[in-house]
Amino acid sequence: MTLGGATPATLALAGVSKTLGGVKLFPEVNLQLQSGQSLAVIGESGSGKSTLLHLMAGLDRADTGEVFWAGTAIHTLNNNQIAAKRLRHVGLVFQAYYLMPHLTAQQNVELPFLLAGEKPNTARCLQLLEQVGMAHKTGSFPREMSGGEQQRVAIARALALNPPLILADEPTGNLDEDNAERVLQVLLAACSAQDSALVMVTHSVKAASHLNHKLNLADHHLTERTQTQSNPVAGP
Amino acid sequence: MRLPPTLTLKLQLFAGALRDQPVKWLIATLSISVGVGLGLAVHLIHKQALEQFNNGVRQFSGQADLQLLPHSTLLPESVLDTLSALPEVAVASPVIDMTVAVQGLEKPLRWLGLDVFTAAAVTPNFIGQSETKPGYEAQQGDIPLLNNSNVFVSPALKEQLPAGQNTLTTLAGNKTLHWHLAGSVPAAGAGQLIAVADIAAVQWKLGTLGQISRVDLKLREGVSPTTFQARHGAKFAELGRLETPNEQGTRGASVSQAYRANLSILAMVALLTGGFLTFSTQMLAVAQRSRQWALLAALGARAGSLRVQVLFESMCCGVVGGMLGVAVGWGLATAVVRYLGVDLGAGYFESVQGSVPLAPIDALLFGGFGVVATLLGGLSPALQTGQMALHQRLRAGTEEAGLQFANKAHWVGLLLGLVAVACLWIPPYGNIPVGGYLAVAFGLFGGIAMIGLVVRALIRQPAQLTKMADLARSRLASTPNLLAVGLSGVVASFALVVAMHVMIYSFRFSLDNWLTQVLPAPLYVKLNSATIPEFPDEFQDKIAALPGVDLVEFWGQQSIVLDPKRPAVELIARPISIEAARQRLPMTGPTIDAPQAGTLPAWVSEPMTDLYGLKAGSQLELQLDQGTRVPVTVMGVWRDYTRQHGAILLPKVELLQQFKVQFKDTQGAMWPQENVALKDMVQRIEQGAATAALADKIDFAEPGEIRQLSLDIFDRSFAVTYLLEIAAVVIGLFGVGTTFSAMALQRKREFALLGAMGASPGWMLRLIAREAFIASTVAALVGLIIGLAFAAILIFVVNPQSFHWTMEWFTPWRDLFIMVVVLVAMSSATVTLALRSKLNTQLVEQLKEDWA
Repeated sequence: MTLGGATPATLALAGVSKTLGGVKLFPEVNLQLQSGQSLAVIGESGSGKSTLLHLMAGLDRADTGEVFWAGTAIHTLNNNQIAAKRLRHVGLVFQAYYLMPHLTAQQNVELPFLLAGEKPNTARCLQLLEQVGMAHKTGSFPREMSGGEQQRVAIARALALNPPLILADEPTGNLDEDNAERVLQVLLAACSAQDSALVMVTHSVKAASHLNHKLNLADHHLTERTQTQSNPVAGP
Repeated sequence: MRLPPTLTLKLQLFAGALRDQPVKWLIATLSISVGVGLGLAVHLIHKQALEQFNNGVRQFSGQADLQLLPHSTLLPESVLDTLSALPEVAVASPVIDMTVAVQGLEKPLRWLGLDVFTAAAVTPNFIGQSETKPGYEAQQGDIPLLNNSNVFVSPALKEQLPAGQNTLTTLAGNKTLHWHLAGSVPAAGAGQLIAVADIAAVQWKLGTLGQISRVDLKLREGVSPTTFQARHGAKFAELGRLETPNEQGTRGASVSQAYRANLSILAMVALLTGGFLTFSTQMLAVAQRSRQWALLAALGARAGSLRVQVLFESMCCGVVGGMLGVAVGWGLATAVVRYLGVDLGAGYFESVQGSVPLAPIDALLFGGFGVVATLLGGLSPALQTGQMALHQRLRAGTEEAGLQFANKAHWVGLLLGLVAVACLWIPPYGNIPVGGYLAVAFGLFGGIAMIGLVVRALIRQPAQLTKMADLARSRLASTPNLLAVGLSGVVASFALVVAMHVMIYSFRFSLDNWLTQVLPAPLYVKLNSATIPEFPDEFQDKIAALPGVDLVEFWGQQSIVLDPKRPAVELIARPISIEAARQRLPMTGPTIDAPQAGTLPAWVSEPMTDLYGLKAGSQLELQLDQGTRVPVTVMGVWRDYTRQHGAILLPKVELLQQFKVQFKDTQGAMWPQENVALKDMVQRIEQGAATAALADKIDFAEPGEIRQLSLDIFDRSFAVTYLLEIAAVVIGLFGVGTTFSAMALQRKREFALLGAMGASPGWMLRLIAREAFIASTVAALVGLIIGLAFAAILIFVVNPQSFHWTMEWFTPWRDLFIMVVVLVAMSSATVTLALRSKLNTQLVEQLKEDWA
């Protein structure tokens, strides 16, 4: 099933909701995100913003509604098909970086190629590491890097296969202010460079201010934080 | 009842460990129970066997202080007068003890002839009690015990006879004799199948007039048997030997000592495997629970109490495994005694049924072995607990860091390896190759300690990732110590399986080669009836003169006791020249060309070298019955796989010519002329047998049949070993399966990330399978190398010292290849199966957990 016209949205949510422990975390969400657009979901801890991101990433299943990646309804796919689709379509960045402890920075960035069954494109990986300012630590292991450095490698990894959609879950949550700012700039610049759509969940209004669009998730309500011409939110 | 707080905490922590890795703990416990059960079963079965053997000796010896036994077969009856005349002797009771074929019974029956007057004082248990039977009319003055037609049977024998049977018919040659069942021997031991009759009747009817089997002596009060032996032993040395019943018991025990020791070693294998599985489980648990320990330490727990906790958990595993093992062992022993007999099919003891009592001391001892094995397994992990600094341990991802000490383990391994080599020079204790076993034990510990080094050498961090296998290799290379610990259980079990298999294969191959060499004739004959004692001379002459016969040889053998503490040695007399012996016997060392003047040439089997110190050139005087002494020169040593306690081959013709000694020939070999078919030869011999009243009394066999039969018997006797090999491999596989599953489960966040990035569960399973493939290949290779070293110890040290025979080394490359492939394939499959469902759990839940 395809939403929209000739060019389907990079990410689309249609009436998506999730209930946990008998509580509906948020009302039905409808949104569409095109390439190059960025969206921040702001909320306190436990507000359900990460759950929303997991639904967008296909890591979790919605109770109602549908999630579309470039027009493909992911609820119609089985786990293996979702995994294969996610590999090419979605790049994930986590708060806790989640680098493979036994792989070097370069090898961590090369990992998606291996997952895709391809020979790693070393030149692209080195270019990405350079782009995120980690060219000097390509052979370092995660234990030899600071938190900010690890997160920059994680961003490079998320971009390795040039996915049209980047989903970032509190990417600066574990970092000090200076590092957080730097990582954020790297993330935005990298997404912009390859025209990827970006969704970032964060509790930091300051971090969210760098993104085009903002949604506030509080008390199980999703509200727009600012109005723009190309508001991605349609409803509820 | 409230438990003390410290015990409550211990149990709570242990419950947590059990919840984390229930299968690993279960496997370690089961492995311990297999080891304990097997060891206890072997011990109980043999204890029962020896008990029955000793009971038999005690019963048949009654209250005799000493017995005069012949060197080989029988004593002259005249010795009785000499013994009775000695002032120290209170009673001298003559006994005939022989086996007789009885109509209707499958096996020959033990038949005793007693002098009722003297036996009443020495062996009253064997005095029969008469029963009045319908149809039997007692003559006036008839004393049933002395009636030469009467026989008394044991209750066990009576049960086997058809109800109402009044007679026993014995078969001797073509002669059948009828005996009247006059009563029973109620005091005969449980399960004993015997018949007792008056000694004179037995001598007269069964053809041993003037001869007896032994004399039971009751000494006067105050006379010590040892003093009597010392004073009169030499006087009777020509006829026989004076022995106490205890000395016979010792000989009985030594019969099966080596076999028993080897079965016990198999039990040790299972125990060691269990110990290593405990070690592996605990070591990984300690590493994985490093933060838990650190938290407890931060809260105020002392390092000592944390170590005690590790040992407590190990001990719990040992106690449960030990108790389970005792139950299993007792059950197994009871079942084996009931269905197979006490000798496990090895043929050392007559099968006597009975229950198997379990002494508390045995239960404690063997259950204790289980606890000791697990405590030893938990010792090293316990010592490692609390070694790292608190702040290090509180950080995530410290499994490998918690095992950093293992970086130097190969030096300990090297040291243990050197100790193992040094142990090979320790002489055996009796028939027990103490040094060989110690070498295996130290070698095993040393080999396990070297795994980390091998892992580091074989699995290198790839410089570049180009394929999935690189990712697997990279993961394994980053945790060499964790991997080494995880693999220790499977390396131990696989090494021991390889060792046992190579040893058995070499033994079987050597046996096969040996059979080919010792069976040169195209046709062999053997008497198949207990009623025919030997091939008569006229029959032998007739066969030799048959048309188409090129060569014929007949031979006989009898046993002789050279050392009262050791089982009898077989004397074989067959036509053989020095030149023929050199060609036909499987010699194992140097030979000499001519015997010393006045002596017969003799060739001794390998055990004679170990047990009696004989070698080429040695001189020996054989004391045969009736005072005949035969001096011999040992011409060489030959390999013999059939007579474990030794054999001496003598030239039959020279023995007869020079010493007038002739054994009863019971076997023969024929070489037909080239143009004569074997079946024609058999037909002609059968015709000759019919005219010599030997129709249907001869078995014919071709070398191929004997070879096959021997190999079948070999395979049967090693069936238990094969079963244990399979059990060890299964235990090892479970070990590797659960180890990898546990290690993989610890990495569930890693897999969750891969899943989040787009790796399918199938991809992750393939990745884990690759890791399992690489790791189990390393385990198989290390196990193979250690196993081959152990096989060398078993073949060149343990076997010669236990059984006193040597064998050649043969490597079963094909089998080893299959074993390696099966281990690697099964490990990969086990891990994949164990994790298949676990990798499908919700990615989100796994990602929420702390990244470790």
